[in-house]
Amino acid sequence: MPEPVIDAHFHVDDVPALGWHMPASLALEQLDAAGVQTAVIMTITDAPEVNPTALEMIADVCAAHPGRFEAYARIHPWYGDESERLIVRAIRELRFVGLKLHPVSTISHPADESSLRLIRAAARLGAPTMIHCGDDPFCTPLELEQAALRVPEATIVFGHMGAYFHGHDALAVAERCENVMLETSGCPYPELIGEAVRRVGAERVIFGSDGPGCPPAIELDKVRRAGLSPADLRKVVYENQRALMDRVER
Amino acid sequence: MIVDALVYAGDCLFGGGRALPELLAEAAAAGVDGVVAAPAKPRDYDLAAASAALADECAASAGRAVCLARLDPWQADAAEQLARLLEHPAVRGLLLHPWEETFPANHERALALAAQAAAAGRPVVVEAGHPLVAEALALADLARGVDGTVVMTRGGQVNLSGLAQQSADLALEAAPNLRALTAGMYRQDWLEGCVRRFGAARLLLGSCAPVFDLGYEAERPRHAAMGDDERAAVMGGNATVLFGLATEE
Repeated sequence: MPEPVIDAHFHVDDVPALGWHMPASLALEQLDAAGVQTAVIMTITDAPEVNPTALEMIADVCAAHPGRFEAYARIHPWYGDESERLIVRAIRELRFVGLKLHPVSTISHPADESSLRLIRAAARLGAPTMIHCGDDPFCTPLELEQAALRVPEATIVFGHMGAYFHGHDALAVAERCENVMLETSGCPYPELIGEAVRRVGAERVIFGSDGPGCPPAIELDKVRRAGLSPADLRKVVYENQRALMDRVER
Repeated sequence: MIVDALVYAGDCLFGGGRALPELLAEAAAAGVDGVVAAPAKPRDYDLAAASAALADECAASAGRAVCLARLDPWQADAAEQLARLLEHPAVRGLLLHPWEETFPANHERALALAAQAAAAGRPVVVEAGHPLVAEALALADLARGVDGTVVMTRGGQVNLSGLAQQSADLALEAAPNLRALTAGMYRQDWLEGCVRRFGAARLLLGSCAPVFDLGYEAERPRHAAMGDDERAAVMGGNATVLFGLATEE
């Protein structure tokens, strides 16, 4: 039996303005090539703007391929009641397993009340929030920490775990905030993934690829270079994301 | 021949430095036959001396390593040092590091050094993508003033949202003498698109190790979707010609 793997970060969308075409068929092709059974998919664009049908499109993809996809809802925080209604609907009606915030695409500070409101709404349903965590404004680990501190009941997943220049900040924040988990995509340093497991525990590090731009085969190769024990590797590539999804009240 | 077109060798001011023999061992383990080495930033800040010492090491490497002279354009004697270093048979080009030496990549002092290297028939490798100092279009601006090849590291990008991709494409389009290294550009589809849009001659494997993991970075172009001839060019054919490694085999 191949080792079970869940890819916690994969995009399905079509964004002609950027020339980014990311159909479900490409996701399946890459997941099969990497031996990955399931991916958590999300759009690049946010609902309700600039993509009013983002949630329905992702829900349709999940329904068309049972067992292959779970979903995070990318929601724009600026729309107040409508945004909160969308995250609740995504989890309770469309069976999404979490919220994804990208503070660059939405120009929304993660600790602004508009973002916190969504994080709280997801947490009330047992769902985690993944936030893009890298070198961009509004996305650094120290900025995300302000959100994690304000919503301690929420599980905050640092997508990309700090990227190129903020990886050590991401680890330090995760050491301070027990509600923070680190997701490996976009972190170009296998050694740092190993260090993250040593410092915050294998239970708080999650494999993600950020596919299809970064295919899961090469991203899994990176995680396997981190020097993890077989038990820790299994937690990172499967058990942790499985546990997160199992807690969601959908 | 598989060539890593940029590694940083020697003791490093910022820690984590690796000696050339260690990097060559890592390269061999990754199936990489040769490396182009530049000095890491030395603790004494003496880039010219570090370059000279590394050039001697490369000359003694039985053809497995060649050297880039790394210089700081702010230093008054940079041109003189470059002229001296280019006389060393193992020195095959110039490395500029706008991030660590703190200058705009298209500053007139950088341009003067790059033009000097180009006039001697040597390529110029520039640590690129760093915000404020070395964005891709600044590299294109530099390349426009140089009658020779300019190579930008990291695909000219340091942005995990993919927001630097379009400017990197525009830079490669604007400056035909500009090429890109693979490492640190995390998007496989950009590497593939670079070859498709601009040709395999414009892309070179270059790990920037030990900043990035040499073995992992060597795998990325191996996994990218491109033709066998294109992959051979990216994995070493381009670098072999550009940095003259074939003459050392």
